[in-house]
Amino acid sequence: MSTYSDRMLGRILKNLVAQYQPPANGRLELLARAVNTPRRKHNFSIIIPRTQFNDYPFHSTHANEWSPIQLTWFFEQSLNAGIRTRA
Amino acid sequence: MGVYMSIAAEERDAILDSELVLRLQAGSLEALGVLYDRHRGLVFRTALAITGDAEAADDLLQEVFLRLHRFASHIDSKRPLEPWLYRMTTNLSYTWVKRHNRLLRPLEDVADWISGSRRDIPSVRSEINESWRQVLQALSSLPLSHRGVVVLYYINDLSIQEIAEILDIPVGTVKSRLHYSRQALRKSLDLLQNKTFPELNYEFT
Repeated sequence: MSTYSDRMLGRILKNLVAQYQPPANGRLELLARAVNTPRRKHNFSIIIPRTQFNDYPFHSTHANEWSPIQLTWFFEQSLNAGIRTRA
Repeated sequence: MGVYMSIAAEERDAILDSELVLRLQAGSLEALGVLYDRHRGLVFRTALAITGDAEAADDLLQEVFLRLHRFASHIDSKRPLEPWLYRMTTNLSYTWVKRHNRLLRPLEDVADWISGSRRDIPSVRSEINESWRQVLQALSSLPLSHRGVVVLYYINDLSIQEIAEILDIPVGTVKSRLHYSRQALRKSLDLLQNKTFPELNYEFT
């Protein structure tokens, strides 16, 4: 794949995007917005797999237990929400 | 309290992403800032190449790192962070393109942006305008799914295996999309072979 035209293609595309830079004040803006952004406290990685490389071990070995896990999580959340509402 | 966790200046370059993710999970905004400084180039150029819109790339850059902050508890600090950033960036960029679905306007905007920033060099301006406009047009003419593969492969220098894992598609699909895109781009760019591209040295941060 490393033919001359392939390398040229890569170089042209890299040069294209290299003409632009992220805004200089991006970090300040990000931190200002982050302060006011609520964070998710629950870890949904058990429901949303493969957010990074490789499967989580659990999914590859216990794929048939998906539904019970999802239902359990759903019931727990519902119960918690219900209890909070009544309190 | 975590907001005020400080990272010494000399520590910033040496500290690993995994440690920064742990600090971010503990609430350190400074860790988010260091991660932003370290990976903003990766996110920005990926978003820019997929959307073809510099303004959208700015917005997506912010959005990706805001999501990193918001969903920090989902990140596995033991795994590399870059694949997560690539995946989030490509997904958000795809969404942006689908939502706007007006590829020609960003091309015009980018061309205007280029001409506006280099007004002091008229001879360079016209050359850049025409050449880069055609490159952008060639890239934007690819199907969205193919564009993502091209950007990750040619601009970010990822391997086919890495691209397959980031986009969650089979290796064979990556190869076929790359093959199709390569042929389409070569065909488009052959039209430019007699034109001189400005010798701009790229330097990614």
